[in-house]
Amino acid sequence: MSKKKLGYVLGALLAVSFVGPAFAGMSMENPRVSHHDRDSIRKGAEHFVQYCSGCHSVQYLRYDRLAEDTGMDAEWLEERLILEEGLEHHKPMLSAMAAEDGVNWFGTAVPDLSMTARVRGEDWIYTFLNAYFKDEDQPLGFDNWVQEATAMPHVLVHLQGTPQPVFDDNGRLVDIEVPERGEMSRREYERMTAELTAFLSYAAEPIRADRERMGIWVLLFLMVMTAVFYLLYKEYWRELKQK
Amino acid sequence: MSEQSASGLQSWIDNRFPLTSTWRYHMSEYYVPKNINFWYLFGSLSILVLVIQIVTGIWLTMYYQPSVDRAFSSVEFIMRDVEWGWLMRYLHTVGASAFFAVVYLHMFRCLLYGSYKKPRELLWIIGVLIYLVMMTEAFMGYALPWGQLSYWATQVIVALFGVVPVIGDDLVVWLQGGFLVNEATLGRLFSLHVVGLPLLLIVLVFLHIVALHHVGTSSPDGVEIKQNKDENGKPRDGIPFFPYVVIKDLVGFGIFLIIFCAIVFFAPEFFGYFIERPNLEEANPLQTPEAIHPIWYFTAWYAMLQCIPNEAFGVLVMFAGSMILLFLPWIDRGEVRSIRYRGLGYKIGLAVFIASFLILTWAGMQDPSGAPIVIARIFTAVYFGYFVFLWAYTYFGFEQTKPVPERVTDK
Repeated sequence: MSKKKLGYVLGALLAVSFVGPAFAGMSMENPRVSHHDRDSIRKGAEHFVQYCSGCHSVQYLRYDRLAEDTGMDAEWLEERLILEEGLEHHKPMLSAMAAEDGVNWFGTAVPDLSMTARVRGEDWIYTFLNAYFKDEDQPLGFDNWVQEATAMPHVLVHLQGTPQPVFDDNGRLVDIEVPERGEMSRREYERMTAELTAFLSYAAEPIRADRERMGIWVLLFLMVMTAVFYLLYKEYWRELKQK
Repeated sequence: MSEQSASGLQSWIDNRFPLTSTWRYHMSEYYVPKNINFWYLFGSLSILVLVIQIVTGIWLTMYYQPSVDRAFSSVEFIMRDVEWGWLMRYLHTVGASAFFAVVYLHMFRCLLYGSYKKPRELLWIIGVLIYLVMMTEAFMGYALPWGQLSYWATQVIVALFGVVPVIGDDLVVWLQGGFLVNEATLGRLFSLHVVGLPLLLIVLVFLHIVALHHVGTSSPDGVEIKQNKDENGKPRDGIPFFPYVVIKDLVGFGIFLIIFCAIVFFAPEFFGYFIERPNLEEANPLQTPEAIHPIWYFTAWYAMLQCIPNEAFGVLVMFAGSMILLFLPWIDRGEVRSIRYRGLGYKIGLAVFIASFLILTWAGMQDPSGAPIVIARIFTAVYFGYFVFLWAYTYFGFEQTKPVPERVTDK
């Protein structure tokens, strides 16, 4: 019985997971935004509140921390980010939607996006947002090249325009084209999704940019310290060798 | 610090506590071979890392919440809301990996220069015990953030005890405090990780140093400096630990800290080797992660477990892999300690042994199917085969050694 349990645990780990596999042939694209680029993070936060935070929370990120790290003030929070009247600035970024609504509407709880950039990577988020395509067989009318049969509707379709799949002779998906653009040009849409990615990447580890700035000084200090130790070592061992 | 110049306070203390004599015995008059090299640094370094782990661990314990509901979010609280909490956490996670790195190199030094041989058998055994406690400690610490891999790794490790005959089932339930890994399990892991095992570890490290200072530091030549003393009873080829070795080790500490802090500040996840991506997702008992393997310092043992089809035998082999190290001083019958004067067979054997451990470490990170499984089987056999070879090679006198010098050699 217990041997079965071990077998079951090890076996379960080998099985294909519940996370839908990506379509074959899909390659991840890099958003090409630096995590030191505060403007992109700020714009990404604004896009996020406009298009995503209706359903998605970023439960581990507080509004005032975001303002501080992007060099913005309380006024910006009030005007652009906080939709709920009178919400205190130190509160986390929670969506207005209840968890059971997600199950009712999309068949699954809407994931919190605090850690997504660290779990799946920036490239995954950016590519995901650029990988929707029209598929009438899907309940929501769209499928996604990165995550097959995704439960998430293509909420940015009015900005991007309707993306159409391109199949090769064997019926394999090889590309996505957007014949008629939405409100944004291709470059604008890619820019916006890159900014969204930058924001989520920041949200996953707010200290990252500061940590790297600090790290340079730490390493410089340690190098000086080590050099002093080295000179001290030479001094002590010289007298030793003279003996 | 001679008796004559001892201050009033010092002699007051010395009459009540062996301060000066202890300092002399362990520091200013503890003689170390003058030609110890780079490989002798890793003992001191592992003490530095132990201190880093204890200090950062104390701070993490102030904020961490050992409950299934709050463990994951309390770690994110530390990462985001506690002042310098992120630094404490990264020092601790990188510290765990650094601990194994320096201890593996420290153990390698013992194999190079025969530091486990008479009269250092007990010193070696205490060291292997430290390694075993460290692995348990690291496994338990890995469970605490309660990410996906924390949870599933705990499932796997606890389930290993199910292969014990007759009582296996009950043992697993008893260990995890329920029929599943649960709140009670997490409480136990936390308590053992922050109190039980660190106490044991500190006691073992203390005993390790006591044993070391009793038998003395080995030398790269395998020569005992105690056998050649001057008229004052001081080893001719020895230098006092303080200040000479201390200042030399400080240079090593500096270089180590530069590498260590470069990782902490610029790549704390170390490309997914020190913090694995799936573990940044909260534990979900209903969803198995896509792929799971333990963190890098365990993967050699994990490869042994995975590559053997019979689970009970696999568990046995995995534990035997580290336990066999306890018997090394008696498996190796060779009289010559240092690799410098040992036979060619020993040199080749050791190289193959180290290669097999590295290859097993790699194999344990791969998906357990196809080539990695076959490779893991071959090198599990090579790993254990080394000990058989070493015994036969030295017991039957096949080894052609070179003459060992009377005194330590200078660089």
